[in-house]
Amino acid sequence: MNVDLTMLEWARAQFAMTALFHFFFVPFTLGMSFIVAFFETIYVKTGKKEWKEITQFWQLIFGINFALGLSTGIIHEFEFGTNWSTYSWVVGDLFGAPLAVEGIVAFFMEATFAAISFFGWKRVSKGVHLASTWLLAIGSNLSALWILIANGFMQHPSNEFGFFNIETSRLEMSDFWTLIVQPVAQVKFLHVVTAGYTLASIFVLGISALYLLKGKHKDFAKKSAAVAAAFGLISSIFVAVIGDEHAYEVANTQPTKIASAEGLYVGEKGAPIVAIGIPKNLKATEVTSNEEGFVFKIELPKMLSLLGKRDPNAYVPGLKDLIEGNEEYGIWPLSKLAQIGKEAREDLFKYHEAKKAGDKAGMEAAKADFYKVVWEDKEKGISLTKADLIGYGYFANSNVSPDLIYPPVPPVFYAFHIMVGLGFWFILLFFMSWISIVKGTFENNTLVQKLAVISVPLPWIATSFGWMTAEIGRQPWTVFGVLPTAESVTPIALQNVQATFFLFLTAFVILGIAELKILFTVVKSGPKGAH
Amino acid sequence: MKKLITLLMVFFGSLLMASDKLMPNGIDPEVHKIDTTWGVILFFMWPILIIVSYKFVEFTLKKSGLEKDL
Repeated sequence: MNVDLTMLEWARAQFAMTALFHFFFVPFTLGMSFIVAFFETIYVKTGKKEWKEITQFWQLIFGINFALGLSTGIIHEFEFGTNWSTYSWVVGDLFGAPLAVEGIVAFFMEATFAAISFFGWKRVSKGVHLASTWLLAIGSNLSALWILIANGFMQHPSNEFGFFNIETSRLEMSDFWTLIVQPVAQVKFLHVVTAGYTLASIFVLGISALYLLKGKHKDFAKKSAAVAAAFGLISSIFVAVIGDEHAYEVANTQPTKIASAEGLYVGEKGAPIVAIGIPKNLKATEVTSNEEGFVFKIELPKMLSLLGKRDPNAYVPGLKDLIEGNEEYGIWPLSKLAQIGKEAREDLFKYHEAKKAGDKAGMEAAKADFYKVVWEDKEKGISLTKADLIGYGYFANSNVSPDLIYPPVPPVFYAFHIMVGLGFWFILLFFMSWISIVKGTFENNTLVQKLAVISVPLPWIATSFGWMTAEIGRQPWTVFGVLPTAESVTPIALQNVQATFFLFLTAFVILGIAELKILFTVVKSGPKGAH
Repeated sequence: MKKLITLLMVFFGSLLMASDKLMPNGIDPEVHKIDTTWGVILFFMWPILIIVSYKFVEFTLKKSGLEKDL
């Protein structure tokens, strides 16, 4: 299939824009839903009206975001059909299943209990209302779980839960349970939701600090800040711990992503992490040493091997190794993988040609060749067939450079490092705030209050960069190693994507302005303005 | 406390498993082989985290004197 590269870029830009806009609301919703549940639980346990007032104020802010998060998510799902129909068709059986569960179970759970929680304060008992608020929080987070199971499949499409069906020319599911509980998806879920808890906690802490700096709503602000600091401290530490496990999963399932995130061109034993650096945008095929890859860098020796392989002297493959191969560690050259992928595509074609001609022997021969095992580890009980490498056939095209097998280094490097750096700042901020709150000095500690206010936008930057690391880092694949992005788009006219791009951009700008205006109005009017 | 230590041992124990020899595409065979038990353990960290977080919120409110009636 010949796809105009410009069309591909417009489709990617539209999806990225929608995802980024959607992702402004999602982590906030994930975190605020539990913060509101915590506030309401304290209200029900103590029976004190001030806690009800606190709950209702933060619930109003949560509600504004909840509505926008839902609506932008729906746009996102439509884009799979409009711009990424080849992707949807090829992997729909695997990718679509968790999305369907998300829609049927989590979305309906969210919608039902959102109605009771937002509008049922005077209509149901305290207990039923509290249960609804908790179920809304659990439902919102379960929505994220199913989406991230789908995304986990895109990051690590193991042949343990799916296979390429020669009959239908589609990737199909073979084991739903394994798809759901694969660690790549579960660790991603934990990392994303706890990042959401951190983000919402910083928002509540920052707004509370703002009230204290202005000398307004002091009791409300101190109590809100205490809950936010406690939840934020636990969450931000957990984000870092689970982020380490996430990086381990990435290092071992997506070697091109981790090598790009660290600017590792040539694989090495005892590989370092670049703590700070300015990477160059080079072609791995032209680089001869890792020193060439940076304008300057400060390294932490052996840390990439330690964190990525749990062994300070372990070998971590570089981008060059993943193109040229490394016999010592069992990595094949890209040209060999591409040749096998090309043969798999030819087998697929032969099978369907034989089927049209009614040639059963030809069909069987093509099928046997398609599913031929090309690599096996008997001890571990895993293997790769030609079919598993069908995506690599794309790189057999003479006009596709081998340097396209990995994502661009600078954006992935910066996104990853800024996210990690901000993550450590959040732990420090919560720690300082929590100590100050427990000692009873937070009300007068203007330095920490100012730092909390200034930090309010930072977790949005961190979560957006985290998303960019995951999605740009997976390139050039939509489904890692299986389906190239260039072969996933809908072959439609460029103008269609351009038109909808600007349509969505206009809608997002209007919605964003409206959201911010409502948010500022609610924050300005304070807790008594709620409900 | 014992449960916490067991959980931490399972958590960090599961990490020590990378292989020397990689798959042809650079993926680690140990990680390619899906550990469903580890996946289930990871999932249950979520409710545990929420419960621990709420308890820590209550502890913070009591310790700071902002809410004694919990």
